[in-house]
Amino acid sequence: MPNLLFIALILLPVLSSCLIAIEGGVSGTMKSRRALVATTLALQCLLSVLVFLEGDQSQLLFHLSPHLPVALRSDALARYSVVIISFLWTFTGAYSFKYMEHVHNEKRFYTFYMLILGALMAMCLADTLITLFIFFEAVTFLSMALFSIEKSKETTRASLRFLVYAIISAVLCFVGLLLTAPNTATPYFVPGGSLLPPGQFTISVSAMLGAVFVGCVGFASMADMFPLHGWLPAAHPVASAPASAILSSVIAKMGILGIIRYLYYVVGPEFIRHSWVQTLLLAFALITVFIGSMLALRQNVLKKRLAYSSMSQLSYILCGVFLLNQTALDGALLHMFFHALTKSALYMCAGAIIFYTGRTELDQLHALGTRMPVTMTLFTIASLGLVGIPPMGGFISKWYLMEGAITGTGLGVFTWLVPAVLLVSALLTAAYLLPISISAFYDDPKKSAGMDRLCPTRLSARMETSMLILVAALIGFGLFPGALINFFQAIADTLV
Amino acid sequence: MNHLLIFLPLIPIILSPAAYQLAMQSRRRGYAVLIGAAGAALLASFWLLRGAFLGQEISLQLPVWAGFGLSFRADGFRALYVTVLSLMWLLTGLLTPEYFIHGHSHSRYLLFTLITFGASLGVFLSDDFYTALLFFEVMSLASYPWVAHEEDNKAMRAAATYLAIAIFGGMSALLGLILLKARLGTLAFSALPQAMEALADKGSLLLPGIFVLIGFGAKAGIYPLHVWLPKAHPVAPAPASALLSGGLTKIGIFGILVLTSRVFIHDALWGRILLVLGAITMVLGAVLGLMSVNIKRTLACSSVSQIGFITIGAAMQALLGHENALAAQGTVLHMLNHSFIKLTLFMAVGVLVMKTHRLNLNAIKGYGRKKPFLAVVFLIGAASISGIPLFSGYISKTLLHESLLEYIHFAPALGWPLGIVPVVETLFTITGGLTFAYMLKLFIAVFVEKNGNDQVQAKYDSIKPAMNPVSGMSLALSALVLLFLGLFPGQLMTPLANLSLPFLGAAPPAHAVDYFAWVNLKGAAISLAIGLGVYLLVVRGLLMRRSSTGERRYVNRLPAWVDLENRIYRPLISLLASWGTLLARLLEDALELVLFRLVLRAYSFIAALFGGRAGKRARRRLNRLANDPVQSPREIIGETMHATQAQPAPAPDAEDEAAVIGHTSPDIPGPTRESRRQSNPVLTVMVIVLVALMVAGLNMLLSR
Repeated sequence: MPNLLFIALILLPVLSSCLIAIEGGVSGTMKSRRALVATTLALQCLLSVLVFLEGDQSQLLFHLSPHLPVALRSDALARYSVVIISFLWTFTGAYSFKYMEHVHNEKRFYTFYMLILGALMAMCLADTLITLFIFFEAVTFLSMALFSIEKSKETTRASLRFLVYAIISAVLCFVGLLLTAPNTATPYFVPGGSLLPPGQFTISVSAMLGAVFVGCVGFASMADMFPLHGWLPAAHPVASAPASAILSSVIAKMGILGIIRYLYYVVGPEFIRHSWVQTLLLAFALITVFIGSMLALRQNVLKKRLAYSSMSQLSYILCGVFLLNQTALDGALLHMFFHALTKSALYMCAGAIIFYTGRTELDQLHALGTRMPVTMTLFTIASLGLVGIPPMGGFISKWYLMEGAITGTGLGVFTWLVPAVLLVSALLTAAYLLPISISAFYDDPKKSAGMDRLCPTRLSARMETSMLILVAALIGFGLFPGALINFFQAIADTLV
Repeated sequence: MNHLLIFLPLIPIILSPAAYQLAMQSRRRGYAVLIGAAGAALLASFWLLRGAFLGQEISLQLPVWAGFGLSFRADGFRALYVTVLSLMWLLTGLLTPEYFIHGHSHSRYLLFTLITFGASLGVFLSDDFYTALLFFEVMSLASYPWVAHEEDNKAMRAAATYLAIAIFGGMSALLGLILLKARLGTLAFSALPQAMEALADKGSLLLPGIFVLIGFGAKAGIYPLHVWLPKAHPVAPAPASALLSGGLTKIGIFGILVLTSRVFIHDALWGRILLVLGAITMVLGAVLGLMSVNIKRTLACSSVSQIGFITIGAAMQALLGHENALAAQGTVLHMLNHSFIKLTLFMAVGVLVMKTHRLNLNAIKGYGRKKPFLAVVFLIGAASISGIPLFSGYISKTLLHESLLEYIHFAPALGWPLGIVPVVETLFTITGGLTFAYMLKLFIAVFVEKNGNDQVQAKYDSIKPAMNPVSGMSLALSALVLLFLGLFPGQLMTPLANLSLPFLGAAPPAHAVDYFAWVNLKGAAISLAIGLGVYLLVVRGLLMRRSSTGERRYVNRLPAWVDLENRIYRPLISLLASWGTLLARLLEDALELVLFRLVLRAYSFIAALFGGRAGKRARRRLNRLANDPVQSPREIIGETMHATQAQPAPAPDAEDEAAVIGHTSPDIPGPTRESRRQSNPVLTVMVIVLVALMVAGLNMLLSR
């Protein structure tokens, strides 16, 4: 008896995407299209909760070759990801209805919006490296379509750049996968890795290390890690706000999910512990944290500033992953969760600002606090969360990440370098986000004279509610992260 | 009842949005929430204090909250300070409605005052560093709107400094605490001493300790992170100044006291670090206070100086080992006194400012001449802080002084190194004199001298009554607390000090100190004599100048280069930021320049190989894209140089001359200083490379 839930979870959004794509029919008008999207998303949430409640299930789909099964499994990490993604997708969807009013190609947007959701579900549930790879690439290339909805020179350029990175990333991932797969005991994911003893490798140990490195860099490209970074800051300014929100909070995180699957479920952390691979990957992650937060400081375009910020925050998470100890991995998983909430909220706020004022540059935005008090309050709270101020969630994840670095053994210079860089980055985060809030609330309202016409005092209720829920979750989970921490600790326990 | 400990901090925070909403409709109702919350907290804290006197401590553990669990405890010291804070918020709450009568943003002020109140109570009630840090951060950020309240350039600049130091301090404390937890395995106050005993390598605690010290010290205003105080106080509303100075700085001290009494128990090195920092802070604050001609700035510098006194007390607790009871008593009592002194003084100044909207001594000269009530209130505060016998400050200063003398007395016999303690003892006496001198300067300027402009003097004399009865009551209450503390030290101060000793890990002293013994009176007399001398010679001599109209005016002789913030911190930060950006850009573009273009060129090459005309077109397009510079290095450097040009700082002390606050009066800009010479990064890189090459060459030559 095949596991129908899995199939439904993946096929439902794909089906809905097809319906949207077909001219006429149920999705002929904007209204019916939205109804379709909303229904699908609601069902999707329900299904994901069902999958979560059903517990650990597995389902073999088919074999590509006798050694390459394509299989799904809902282990703890997968179940968690599926639920979070479904809900984030729903909030963003609710937000997007209003936002997409002033964007052309709404149909195209929702087609890909739903299609990617299906690919994401499959990627989260993947149980073999090949399944992961297939759907990872699907997500990557589909997401290009998502952010290049509007036709303009910038969009073309951003898409082209993204394409270059995506192809390099795909090649690297494929090389890593190709060299790793024959040396594992089983094609399926095993917590803690299933690499054969070094004596039985088909290639030398150093070549194997190289393969792991290449694979990790490939996946990390999706999370915008140095040296294959640079697509996020290019893609965000051209993307619509809902696309930005999910790009930063979900899609970029798929690179991290890929690394976690690859490092912790296939290769095993022990293999690269204390090797040059770990050192180099950590160094890359730290460089990215530095670059991202430093460059965010100088950006005048709001979404670009947030994009650089995402870049550095994603590498915080990668740092936690590459530290290869339990506390740090806990921190990484927590930060993944909190960053998803925070960044979605921030991009939605930025989207609301852009939607109502039509301005994207920070030096043209003044005294917004009087015009859009709710949005700017939420923006401020989310900013503080990103800096790591309690009781918002970012604080606790940052604590775990730093504790992981400090208590980790044999990390050498990284014992103090990781906390130092994270700390400097937190200061920079404050330096590039808080002035936005300060100017919003303390600027002379006269400066915003030209904006009176542009923005009404009340925003769309749907937009505000979506943002409000995310920020409330940020505070709520920040105050009571107990369940979350236990859940992640249980995952981390099996991995390290 | 134990849950009171979480309700105390949470209720004001939960009430804050309600106060915000209410104040939008009616100002009066908003303030009623603040006063009600503070009053209720005061009642609850009296109950805690009573429990502490009866020996019933209450504590509370909330294991699932905020990740690592929160824990609270109300022992003597903490109950005492919760009472002090509640009283401070209540009294300032009574004054604020009149102070802000023509003000703006009441709702915002109330919102953040309540959040700060709850968070401050939370820090003092916390029983582990994690809980303390949580509330500390909230308190740190929620007090930002106080400093920025006036929304003018000066306020925003001071607020930016405040925020930067708050966040830097918070992050430093975070790092320190994580390190501490990694070394000791716990952050619970009660478990720290045992964990510390069990640790083999005590030296490894120093680094975490210093990080935590930076965090809490920044909030307390200890040198070199004191810079926010003299900037923030003059621009903040007076009730907020009172709370910042009397309340929030003590939260910083709280953290330092926990470190001293739980982690660095009787640690001589720690004591010496604190002693040096405390002595510098004490002297620096007093000297700056003496030079200042802005009444709130003087009081702010005075706060810095008094925090120095308190830090010395903490240092002596560490240095004196098991005999540290006097130092512990002195520290607690000086905290207590300073809270109420600054409450009284800032509220008195607030009453003055709300009528005059001026802070410059020359402008407000003579305001208090026919206002005996205000004069008496101010006098009680001034006399207390100057350490005049029969006033409260005398007691705590005597105890602190005694602890220094005790160390000097016992050190030779016990084989302790004397170090700088005798020097600090001398400085202590001198600074006591300076305190007296600057308070005398303020008092004489406001309450004795006549204003140079007779019309202004007449106008000042006509302002009657100076305040409404409610404000008067809050001032009177605050002054009465001080007066009673000073008049009945044996009945009030000693028991309160002894109540706090268990928290500080000190045993009650073997015999009570006779506060009015000849030797102690003599010490105070020497201090006061020095102060009088300084006032007559320095203040009347050097710091005043006869103007063209024949009036003797106060002048600011403080050279601009003394300003640590404008001279060092801001340039340093902007330099670091531009260097960081340059480095980040180069790292980012390394890929853009090499990889991205290489790949595109490869594509275009392949396209040209395979395609005919279409391939050529593709190739042309791709080549154009590849050559389309994201940003050339020249642009990068140009941009970086542009970033290096820090915003010119307003001449900070010149603007005191024209210090005008309040939205009703125009902001008179001070003379601008010539802009700083900008540094050229390329040149600097070349110089650094050159020097590095020279050093390397020299090394090679020498090693042969």
